[in-house]
Amino acid sequence: MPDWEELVSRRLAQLALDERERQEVITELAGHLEETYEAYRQKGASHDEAIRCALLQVNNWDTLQQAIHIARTKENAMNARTSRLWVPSFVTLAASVITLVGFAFLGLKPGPFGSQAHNEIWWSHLIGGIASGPYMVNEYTVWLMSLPLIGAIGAGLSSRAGGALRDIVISGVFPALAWLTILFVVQSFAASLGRGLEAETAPVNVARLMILLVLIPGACLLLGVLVYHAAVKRWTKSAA
Amino acid sequence: MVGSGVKRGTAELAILSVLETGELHGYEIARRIEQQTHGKLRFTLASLYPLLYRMEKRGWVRGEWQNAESGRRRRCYRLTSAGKKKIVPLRAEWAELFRALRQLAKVADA
Repeated sequence: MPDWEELVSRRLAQLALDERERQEVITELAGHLEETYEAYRQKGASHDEAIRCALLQVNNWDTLQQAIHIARTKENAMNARTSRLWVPSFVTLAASVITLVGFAFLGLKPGPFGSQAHNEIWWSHLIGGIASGPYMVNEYTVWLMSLPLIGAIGAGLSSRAGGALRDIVISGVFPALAWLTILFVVQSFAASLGRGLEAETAPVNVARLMILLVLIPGACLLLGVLVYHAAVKRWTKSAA
Repeated sequence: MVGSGVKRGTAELAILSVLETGELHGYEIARRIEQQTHGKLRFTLASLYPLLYRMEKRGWVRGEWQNAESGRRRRCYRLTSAGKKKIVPLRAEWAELFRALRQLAKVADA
């Protein structure tokens, strides 16, 4: 029997993959040719005839080499993890930040799209409002209401890219995870800087921010992910 | 015999369908497809592996090396959850296409 690995290796000499991956391809293709050869032998073909028939599996080795290279490297620019996890996650994060800032700028009041006082800076207004006043509750509430949609968009992007359930969930709730990280970073920096930040880093305030920026938004985002997942499951079932 | 263009389009569905029954290595995938379609769909090594690798990149199938009883190392492919999800809409698309073609054929025959 011919040395199929050696034969394939010679014909795919220009296959530009890393050595381990190239060797795997060679072993796999050689195995396929070997089984084809054996099948022809079992049907009664002579040794030479079986080799000839096995080699008919490939008309042009250069074309095959190119096709394998494209198939195995095409997604290198944006690998699977990027398209299934990072892109959807950052889209979700960007959307949540843009809507948060947008609603704060609009200064929603108990009427639709009321204007906020000019001397208020949006972020202090937002944080102050979230933390203490019924005035801000409306802006915050509107933002929370938009989060299930944002979570569902993130889950949808990840799912369409072939993400596993874990990627889909992380993509959907990523803004809450990002807020959590930011709070931890701020907390540790503030603790090390010390003076002037005692109020912000007081356990009560941290807990309040944790609830308002991480837990409640996280639950809203997760709701969107779950609704999307249930809808897809239902659609898949009915299509079947 | 079905033409090569249609074959290319149906190839992904064919591979996903045979893998629904369980994990298989490349040669066995090609053999099953040929057997189950009574020779109307045939995969050669050159047509099968680039497609399998692409499907693996997309996350529809996952290949793992296994040792066969004969001692030979084989890369066995199985459907991932993304592949299982993909198969349903793909089947629906092809069923719709074939329905449309049958209707066209009826109009032409009439």
